[in-house]
Amino acid sequence: MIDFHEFSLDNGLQVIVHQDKTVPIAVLDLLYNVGSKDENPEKTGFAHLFEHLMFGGSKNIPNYDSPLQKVGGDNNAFTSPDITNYYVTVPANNLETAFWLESDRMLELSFDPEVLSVQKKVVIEEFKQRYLNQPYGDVWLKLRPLAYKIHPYQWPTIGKEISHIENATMEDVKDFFYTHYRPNNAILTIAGNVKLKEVERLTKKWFGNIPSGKPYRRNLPEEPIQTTSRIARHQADVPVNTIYKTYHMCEKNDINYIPTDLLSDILGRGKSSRLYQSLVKEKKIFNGVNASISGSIEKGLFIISGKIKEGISYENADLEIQREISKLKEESINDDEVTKVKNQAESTLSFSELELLPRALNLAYSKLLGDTNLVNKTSEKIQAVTSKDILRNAEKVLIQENCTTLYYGK
Amino acid sequence: MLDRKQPPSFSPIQDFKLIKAKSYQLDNQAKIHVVNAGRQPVINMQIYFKAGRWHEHIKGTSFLTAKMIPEGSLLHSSKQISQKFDGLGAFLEVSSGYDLVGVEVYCLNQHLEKLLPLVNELITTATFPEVEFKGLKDRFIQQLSINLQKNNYVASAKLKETIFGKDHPYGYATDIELMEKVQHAEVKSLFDEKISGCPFEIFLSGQVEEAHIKQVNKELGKIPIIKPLGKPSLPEDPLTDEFNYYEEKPESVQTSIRIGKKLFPKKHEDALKFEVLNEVLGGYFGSRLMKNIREEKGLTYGIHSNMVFLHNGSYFVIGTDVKKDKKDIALEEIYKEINILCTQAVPEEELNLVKNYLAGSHIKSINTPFSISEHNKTLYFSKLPENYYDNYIKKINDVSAEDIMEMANKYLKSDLYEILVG
Repeated sequence: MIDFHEFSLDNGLQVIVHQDKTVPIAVLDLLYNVGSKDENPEKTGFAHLFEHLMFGGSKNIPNYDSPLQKVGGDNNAFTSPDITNYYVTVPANNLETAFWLESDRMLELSFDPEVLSVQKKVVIEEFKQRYLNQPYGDVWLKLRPLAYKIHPYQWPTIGKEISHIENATMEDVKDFFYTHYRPNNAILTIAGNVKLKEVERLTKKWFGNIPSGKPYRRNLPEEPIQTTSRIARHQADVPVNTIYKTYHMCEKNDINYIPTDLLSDILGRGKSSRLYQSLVKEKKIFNGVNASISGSIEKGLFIISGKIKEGISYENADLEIQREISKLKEESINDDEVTKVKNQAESTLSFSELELLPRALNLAYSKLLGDTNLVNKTSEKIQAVTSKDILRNAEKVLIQENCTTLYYGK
Repeated sequence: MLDRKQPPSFSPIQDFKLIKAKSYQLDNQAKIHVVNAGRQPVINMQIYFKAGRWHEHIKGTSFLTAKMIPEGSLLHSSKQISQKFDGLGAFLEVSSGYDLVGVEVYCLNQHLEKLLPLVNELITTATFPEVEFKGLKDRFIQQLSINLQKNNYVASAKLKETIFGKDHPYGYATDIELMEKVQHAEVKSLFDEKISGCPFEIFLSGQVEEAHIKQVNKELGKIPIIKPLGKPSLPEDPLTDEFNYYEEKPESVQTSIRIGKKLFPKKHEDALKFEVLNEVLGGYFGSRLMKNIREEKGLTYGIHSNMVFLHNGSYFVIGTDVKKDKKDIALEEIYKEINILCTQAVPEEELNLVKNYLAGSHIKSINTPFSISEHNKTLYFSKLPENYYDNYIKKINDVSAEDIMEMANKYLKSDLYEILVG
């Protein structure tokens, strides 16, 4: 059970407070409701580049990091297809420094051209380091546009290509800031050893006079239902052949989301999973195989991936995966298997709540999904899933027409 | 009117007492170190054996020995073992490090009792089925062939080889040829000699009640410990005078840089002073290297320096992946920053910032039962005084700008190995 209080400011900023008096620290998490899905298809990678610029100084504070480090604080941020999230951890009695810094960069950035020029270079090096200069780094650059024909999930957060980052201008930066980085598009979460009244006072003091922006209306193109299977092959200088299969699945708020997640666990989570036992251990088709879901807010992907053993063909490996899927649909799922994946999901949840920061982030994410108290309902929802629910989703999701396959290897 | 240019006032960060693990002996004299803390009903149990790389007779065996432990025991097959753990939502991890082999269980505390008999079985009667060994070795070699394509993996391995020597247990590089040669019998024999029936230590943390300690004693305290540990002989010091190595890869768009050298143990009198020096140079996001090479020149996504403390040897390393055609500039700037630290005192404001940052990181690193246990483990294995963390912030604050310059001159001025890949 994660307790929390909520309030909001007149400018639209939504605030969540979670108290934990057992730790000497406090977390300030600021979630902006903007991700790579909100980008112009000709200017991809921008949300993430923008995240870098948020550290390049704001209207009244030339440097973001040093004043925070000076009071013993630390911070970081990440960009996903759905959100951009900034978080600060400080010794609890220095919380106000986090308010000061975070509110000033919501008020206005420095918009320094030098910062833009350097961070473009840094992000291009990040692109190379993570996506180009290591084996399999570009798998999702290839796979996303195969699986999504229209929806902006078709590009990764780093962007489609380096030129999009190179071409970013200061005008783009300002436009993005005033469209998305307004209080009415953000959720502020304060967690840790804090007092509610004090948090209210500090929030009003530092965020209260930031003007709200025009409401942002998200109008994303809907991905058409996939009606024929897609298959592609990519050759790269890698030592091991791999296969990726993706299937379109429901959105995060859908009632079928958790059952589909548990379906992926039954097929491919851990060494006792069906795919691992059958295809790695018994038949020795793969050296490793997994199933998981992308976890996105809008309609996401169910993913099966495997490293194929030397001497086994792509087609054969693919066929073996499909055989396991058919077997699951035909023979059904036994109760022990369902209990197992529920226990795994439950204990993963308990372990994830050990630390303060994930608790704060989960609260903010739940709020974004429409109900902050979702954090406390997950366990109940996991327990309510039946083998029928799982099977129903297997029949709906894991079908050939809904599948995109990538053979990636030598 | 709110003055946004004025930072809010802040308080200095105070030392606080680390919760100390309570240590007991099981019936068989094995030591158990218990941290009872936290609000979630979870437990982490770690069992350590002196069977890491340092204790191998044959290179490459320790890793496979550890990974074979859950692959079959006297009464359970590999499949049954993973079903048992997964079925209860528990996690079993085996690790093999430079010094220790660890068998680790994460579970809800109510399930510990049900898992302990199986844990006993694994660490005493693992059967090392040949067919599982073959599969495991194949999978490992395949993964290794992927890692060997990563410049940063190759560069890190090469640095360790250069610092410690090709035949040193910390230094030898794990390559495919070496792993192909490892035999089933050699791996099994490491288990028989260094794990089964050998002394072990347990770290138990989370919501641990008396009953859990009793359960552990009942199952793991009955294991007869019959084999004394032989002390492995120390390999000869292999110092090389080849300080520069460059493996060029025409297809690479980035070059991995590693610069480093051997270091003293964590309990050495210079350790804390050096820790502050390391932080200034490359230990945090505001470090001099990060500011210069990433934030001013945009040559990299990141650059860091670290100290790595092992039981029988330690080292210092600067690591980064930089734009290939600018690698010489990056190198020049790295040495320039080191030279500045050797010749100019760190300004007071920067030094205070770094000290506060270290103090804050310290406070933030001790917030879960597992991290409290980790700190206790470091105290124990690094043979640090029991109050080491209780006055850590004071000790950091006592480090002066002169100390840092002295450390830079003593340890970083010369004899640094430089490895480039890509």
